Amino acid sequence: MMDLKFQFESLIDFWQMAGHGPYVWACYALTFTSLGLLLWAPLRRRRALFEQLRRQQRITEHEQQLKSQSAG
Amino acid sequence: MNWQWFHRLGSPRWFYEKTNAWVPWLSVISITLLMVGAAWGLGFAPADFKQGNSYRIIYIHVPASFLALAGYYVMAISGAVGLIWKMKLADMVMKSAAPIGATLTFLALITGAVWGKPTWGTWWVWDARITSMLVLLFLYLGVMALQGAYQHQDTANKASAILSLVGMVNIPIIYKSVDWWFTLHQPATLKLTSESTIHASMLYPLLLMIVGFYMFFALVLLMRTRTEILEREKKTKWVNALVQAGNR
Repeated sequence: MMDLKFQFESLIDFWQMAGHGPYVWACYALTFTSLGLLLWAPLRRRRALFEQLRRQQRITEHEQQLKSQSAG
Repeated sequence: MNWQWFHRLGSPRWFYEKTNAWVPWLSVISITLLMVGAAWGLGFAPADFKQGNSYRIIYIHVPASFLALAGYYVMAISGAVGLIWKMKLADMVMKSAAPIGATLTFLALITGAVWGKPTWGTWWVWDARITSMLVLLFLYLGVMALQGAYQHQDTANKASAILSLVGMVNIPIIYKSVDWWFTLHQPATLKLTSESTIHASMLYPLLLMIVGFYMFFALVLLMRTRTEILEREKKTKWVNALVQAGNR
């Protein structure tokens, strides 16, 4: 397709970006952190919900056990 | 035309079960595109003749801006569908889209500001496009605030939908601002009907990032909507069956 060449002499040059490093890396860091948070938030909500429902189910099971014990 | 699928959307459960397989696929595709696009744009695309390396912010700024606008369409259209057809799922999509769109608008504004400093010498200017994007952020935040402002979810949804729809007037203003007014922000480089003014070596990673951001938006929107469905239906048998089956 096309010749893809690494555009910097070294990793240090890559980091510094000829003086524009702070601008570029700040943007990328902020963006990927934000995207990560967007991904993590629904997962956390889901896990918390399932934990709550599991607890609820255990309580209901326990109550039913007690009921069947006392009925018998 | 078969409209059955539209009627099926009346059941959030049907939507939830139908989209089970989509999440892993969207995750792999979107994250791969974002990683490849970012690496390519950062390290393998040539530096800009005038701007040097600061232009590499384009690989975030442009996709975020596109999605800030596309996300608004999603929010407004699903709000309208919920309003007209009283479809619960549409309301959930609208609610889920708002924080994602707000985040992307925020990223577009911040990356634009950071890019503007070395390029234009200023962090901020009350330029037509930039100001109307700020208004877009406020609209998103307004929709989110309305969701929490009412006792009844139905009223909140109506209010959010109406604000979203009224705010649609901002969208053509954002698009055409660079044509209608003398702006600092440059006019469109990517064109659908004629040749783009950006070089191919810089364009390809940009296209990857744009598609990657679209896929990522779809992924996160889907995840949020699905979680919203589970929360609203947490008293039902099918959700509790999911929990019992050992899902996390």
